[in-house]
Amino acid sequence: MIKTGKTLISIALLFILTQCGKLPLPLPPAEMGVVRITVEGAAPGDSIRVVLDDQNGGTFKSPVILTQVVAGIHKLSVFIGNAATPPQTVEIRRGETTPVTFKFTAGPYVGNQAPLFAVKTIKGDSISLSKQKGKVVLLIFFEHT
Amino acid sequence: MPSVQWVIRVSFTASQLTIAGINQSSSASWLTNYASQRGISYPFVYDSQGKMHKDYQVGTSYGNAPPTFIIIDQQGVVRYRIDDKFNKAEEMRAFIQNLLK
Repeated sequence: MIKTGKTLISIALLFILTQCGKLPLPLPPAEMGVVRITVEGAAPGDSIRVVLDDQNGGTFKSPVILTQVVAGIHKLSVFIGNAATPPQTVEIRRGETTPVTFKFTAGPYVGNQAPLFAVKTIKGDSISLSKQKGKVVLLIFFEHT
Repeated sequence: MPSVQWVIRVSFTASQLTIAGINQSSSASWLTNYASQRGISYPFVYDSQGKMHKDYQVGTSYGNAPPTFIIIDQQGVVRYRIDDKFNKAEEMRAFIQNLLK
């Protein structure tokens, strides 16, 4: 009886050790996630500037893959040159790749995101479109006739 | 342009509406005189390098001719664009009023 008991314990130990061996390797820091940004309408090789939570997230060539983004809810927008896309709110999940697509329709026509500008008036004051959020802007292009 | 001053500028506060007159072909001193003679209080930009004209595709090389009026909404989206030497100030005033509702 004693011998049978020892055998049973040995089998149990072996089973536990085998199961431990099957455990996956530790995951990378779990609070990070990956974002893959696709920008529709961007030409190949366009420099895309990423703005994450109103902070400059860096400039990349398309397609943009950001690794090591802290998981959670983020505000994301992209710029090409001086033209911006409207921001999107994105949930980045830990240990996953989250795809985000921006549709780039910047331009000077109705329905487009207006090209950004930052200029000086003839009196030396600055006017910057990015600082006009919440206001309507009327631009009048005119020539001396 | 004086109609923009008297119909539009006086109808809205500076926190509701920003107006800018953009000119490429004159000079800063001509623009200063133009504004003071006509009592125009909104700012003028002398786009000497033509960058804004290029970005906004204004000019005969883009198939349109100034004066070109462009209204951008509170989110930075172009909502109105017209190339018209006729007086559309009242139409634009109503359009801006509607955006601000």
